[in-house]
Amino acid sequence: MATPPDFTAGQVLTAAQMNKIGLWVVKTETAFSAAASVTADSIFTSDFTNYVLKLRYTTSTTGSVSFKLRASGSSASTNYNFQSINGNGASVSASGSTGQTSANIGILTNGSFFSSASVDLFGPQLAEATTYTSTNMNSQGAYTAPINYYIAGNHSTATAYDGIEILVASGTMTGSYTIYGYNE
Amino acid sequence: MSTPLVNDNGVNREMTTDEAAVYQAWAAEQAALIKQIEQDAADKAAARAAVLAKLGLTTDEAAALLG
Repeated sequence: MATPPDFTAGQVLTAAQMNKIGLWVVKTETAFSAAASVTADSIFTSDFTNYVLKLRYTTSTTGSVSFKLRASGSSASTNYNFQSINGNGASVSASGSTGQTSANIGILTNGSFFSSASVDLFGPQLAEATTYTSTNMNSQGAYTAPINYYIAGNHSTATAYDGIEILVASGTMTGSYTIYGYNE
Repeated sequence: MSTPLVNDNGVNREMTTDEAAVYQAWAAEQAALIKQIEQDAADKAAARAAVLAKLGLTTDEAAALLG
């Protein structure tokens, strides 16, 4: 028998093999349009410790994109801390923020220029602090000048969360997202 | 002002009054934060320009000097 991932046609997979699948979809790709906020509840469970959010989006104006963790349908609005580094052309800038009401994950697109963010969330469903990193490719009003935005941060409240809210700071956002759990 | 939309677990709907109030307060705070960041950057750029002027250097010359 071939060893996965070198599957062969007609091969019967065992539970042990299936349990080694690395990423498991916990929220299937969901499209949103002209929304100020997007919520996904009942997705973080004890099945997985760490998760990744794949977000493809545009923003209608100049508002950046952030998230809040949610428990039982309510978003937490305190204790977000993050540090970012931003490469734009030949310029690099960095900034840090503490005690915020949300966690930044991406910059604006200011029109129909798709941007993307890959957000790793570590331990959101544990009753401990949640840490995160976001790698954001940003098209701030043009595809000819992509911006590299990297953010690392945390939500320091020791609470178990089961969901997430994604928000844009002004105007609306359009796009889609998928959330996966990392198998251990 | 129209009520903001939330995509609630895949379904677009208008925010409730309470949700809209929380969202709008957050958005206003974000706008103020961005304004502060932009002001800080402008202040920093002005300070840098003032130092370069004292030294008699252009921005390009300073960049060449500092690598």
